[in-house]
Amino acid sequence: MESLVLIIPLSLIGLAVTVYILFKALKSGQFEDLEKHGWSVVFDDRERPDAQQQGKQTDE
Amino acid sequence: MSIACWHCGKVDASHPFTARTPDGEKPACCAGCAAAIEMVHDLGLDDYYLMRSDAAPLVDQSDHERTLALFDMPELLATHVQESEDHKTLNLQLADVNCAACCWLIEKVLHEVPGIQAAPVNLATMQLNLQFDKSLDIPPKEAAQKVLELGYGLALPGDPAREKQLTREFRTMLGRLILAGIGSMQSMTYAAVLYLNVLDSSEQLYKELFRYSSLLIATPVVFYSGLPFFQGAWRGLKQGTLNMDLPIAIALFLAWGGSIVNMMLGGDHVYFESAAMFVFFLLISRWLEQHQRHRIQREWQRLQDALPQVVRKVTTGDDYRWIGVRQIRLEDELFMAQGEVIPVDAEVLAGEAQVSEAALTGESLPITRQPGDLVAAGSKLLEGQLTIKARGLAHESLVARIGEQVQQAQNERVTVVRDWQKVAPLFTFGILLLAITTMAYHWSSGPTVAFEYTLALLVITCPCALALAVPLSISATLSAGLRYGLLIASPKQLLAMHHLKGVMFDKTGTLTNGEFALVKTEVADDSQNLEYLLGITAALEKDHPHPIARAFDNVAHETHLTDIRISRTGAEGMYNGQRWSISGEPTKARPGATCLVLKLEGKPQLWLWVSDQVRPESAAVIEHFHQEYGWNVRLASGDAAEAVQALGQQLHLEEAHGDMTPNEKAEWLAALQATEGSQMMVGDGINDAPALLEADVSVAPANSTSLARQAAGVYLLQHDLAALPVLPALAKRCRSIIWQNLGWTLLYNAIAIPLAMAGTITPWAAALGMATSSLLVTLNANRINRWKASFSLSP
Repeated sequence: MESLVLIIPLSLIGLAVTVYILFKALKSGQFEDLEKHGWSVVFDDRERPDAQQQGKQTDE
Repeated sequence: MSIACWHCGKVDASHPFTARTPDGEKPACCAGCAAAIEMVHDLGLDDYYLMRSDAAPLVDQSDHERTLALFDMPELLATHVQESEDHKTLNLQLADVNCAACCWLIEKVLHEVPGIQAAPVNLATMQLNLQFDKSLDIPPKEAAQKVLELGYGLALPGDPAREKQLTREFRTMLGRLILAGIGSMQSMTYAAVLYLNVLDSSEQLYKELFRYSSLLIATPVVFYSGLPFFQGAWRGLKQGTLNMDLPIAIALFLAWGGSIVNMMLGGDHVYFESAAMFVFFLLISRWLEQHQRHRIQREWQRLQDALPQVVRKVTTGDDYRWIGVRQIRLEDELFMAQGEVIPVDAEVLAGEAQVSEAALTGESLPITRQPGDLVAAGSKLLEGQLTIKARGLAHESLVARIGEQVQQAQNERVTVVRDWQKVAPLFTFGILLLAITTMAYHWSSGPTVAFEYTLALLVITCPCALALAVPLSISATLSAGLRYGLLIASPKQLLAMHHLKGVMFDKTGTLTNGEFALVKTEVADDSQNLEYLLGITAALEKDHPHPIARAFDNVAHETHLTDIRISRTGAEGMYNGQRWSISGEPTKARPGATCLVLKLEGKPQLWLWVSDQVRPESAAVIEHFHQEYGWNVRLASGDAAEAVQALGQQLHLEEAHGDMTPNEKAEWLAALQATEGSQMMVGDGINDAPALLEADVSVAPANSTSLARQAAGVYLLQHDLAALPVLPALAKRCRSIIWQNLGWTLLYNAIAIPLAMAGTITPWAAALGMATSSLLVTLNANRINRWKASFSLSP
């Protein structure tokens, strides 16, 4: 039973961390559009060859 | 063969345009769509055509110039621009965004525009968050141009502050819910240990540890997540009323404070987990209600969104520059092109045009305006162009004055549905009385016992089910209405539906669809073939810009006509070496119908009557209202009295009045309200706005003027009246669900209160009972979402 002294405060810390992460996500607006981001994986981000060249030119 | 446009999906037999892409040529319906296809392929974004779930919007270039003009006027946009650390942002409302592929396409296309840092699109709210370089005052015009070229609509959010407030409400509520959810689960695991008696009396220290941990978790849940209840109770007390939040706040405070007192006195029981659970369950229902409310508000907001109107001001000679409508001064010379709405009362200086005053007066036929004539603000140029001289300012016109009326009424109409219940103070008072009685009755068994019983009573009688019964039913009804194409902005009107005694319709644009159709023909010589004559008429009218000519668009036209010449009064052309002509014949006009005559070498061959077409479903809707509900259906129009009466007879209406001014309509409606009872008004024009404000229930059909839309409590989203009969049926359903919910909560309380007063229920069981009751109410309210209209209109 002595382990409780360690486990209970640990669970409280875990709880605080969870709540902190969720609130941070909330503030960044992650929960505002739940549909779009699910789709983002099916789109390829193909770079056009000429766009890449343009990018290089501006880098120089 | 018919081919669908690769971009917008419109089927066109002639597919006159093609777009060149690396995958070969693709058919397009217009130059705009072709350009859009080429742009999408050029940027390597052709995945869009594979991924989209719905066809893209048709690219209509006619309005682009006016929308883009705005991006040349920093002073009009600047107020909407927000500045942050490394960029500036402008929120824009998009239209016709259907799926995730649309969002992706817009984001990618805008990414290529220099000066744009990012352009995330929110699919749920259809908002574009344009982030651009700090060095710029307003976003580059090219960005707006790209979006328009893809065929999406663009507008400024009507009220950016309102949108911000919705987002803030959403985040705060979700934050409270998350904390309450996690907190209640965690504190319940601690409570389980205490309840199950796993620890014996020698392990007091560990019990204390669990209790203090529960306290640590429950405190933020009660005071942060539960804050709305404390605020609500305090607001009520300040106004001198006992509202539904008060017993909730008392129960929360008692559960939390009582547990602390119990701990200090060395008592065994704490109720931290009950308090946390209580908050969590209450918030779930509030969250659902907020979600549905926001959805309706956003939908409504989207209708109000518009770009500030801009107009071309003639500077020197043929030159002009764009200015905002509010910047127009007296004597300013303005140039108006086809399709534009005249912003101020003015005098025509040059040009000639067909002007429609349908929105202002209900007059369905366009009027020719020439130099020297006056044009009223709010009338629309159907054909031709005008140079006008401002005779008044934008805020002085009739339209603006009616607009002010609407604005005022809207401000007054903000009613909070949650506090709708008049029973709230009575109920709350009753609960508090019962709580004190319970406390006093059980005091002899010791304060701890008395406290536990009182707490159980307060929790189990929690008025949340009662408080939710009405708002949840209403918001579910609003969602169901949306499914049928009804946008209900005023829930109050929904509840007023069952008092209705009569309906008043407007004519032009409401019962009729504002388009001309052929209603009657008369052949001069019976030996002539009618179809042959109609074919020639259709060929002559084919490219005529006058709206009346559209009546012949669906008639098969003779293709061998040559040398067609279109004039303002008609058209003429050659067929088999003979000269055919068509022109107006005012002497044979009938009420509500214009007469045209087709002549061969100057001799009349065929008379045609065209009139504003009655919507095919109008008759069925009127009959349904009359038969099903016994309502008296009336017609009030600003159009000529003969035409209005003819339509009234055709549709078997109770009464039909024409030649009415906006205020006369409202006065007639008020008189009917006094003699007959509640009235519903259905109208689309600016001239209907005062009557719409006066009516108990007001409906604006799709394509209504923005003023009618704002004045009305219900807006039809589909371009017909078919959704109208759904409204009373839905309202009836909503009422019965409300009564079921209220009935259930009263029954539940009648059973639970004696049990709790007798002390047979523990606080955690009370929390569970309360939650079940609320859940039942919620589920019952959501039944409306699955509701189906049980009738069909015979066409």
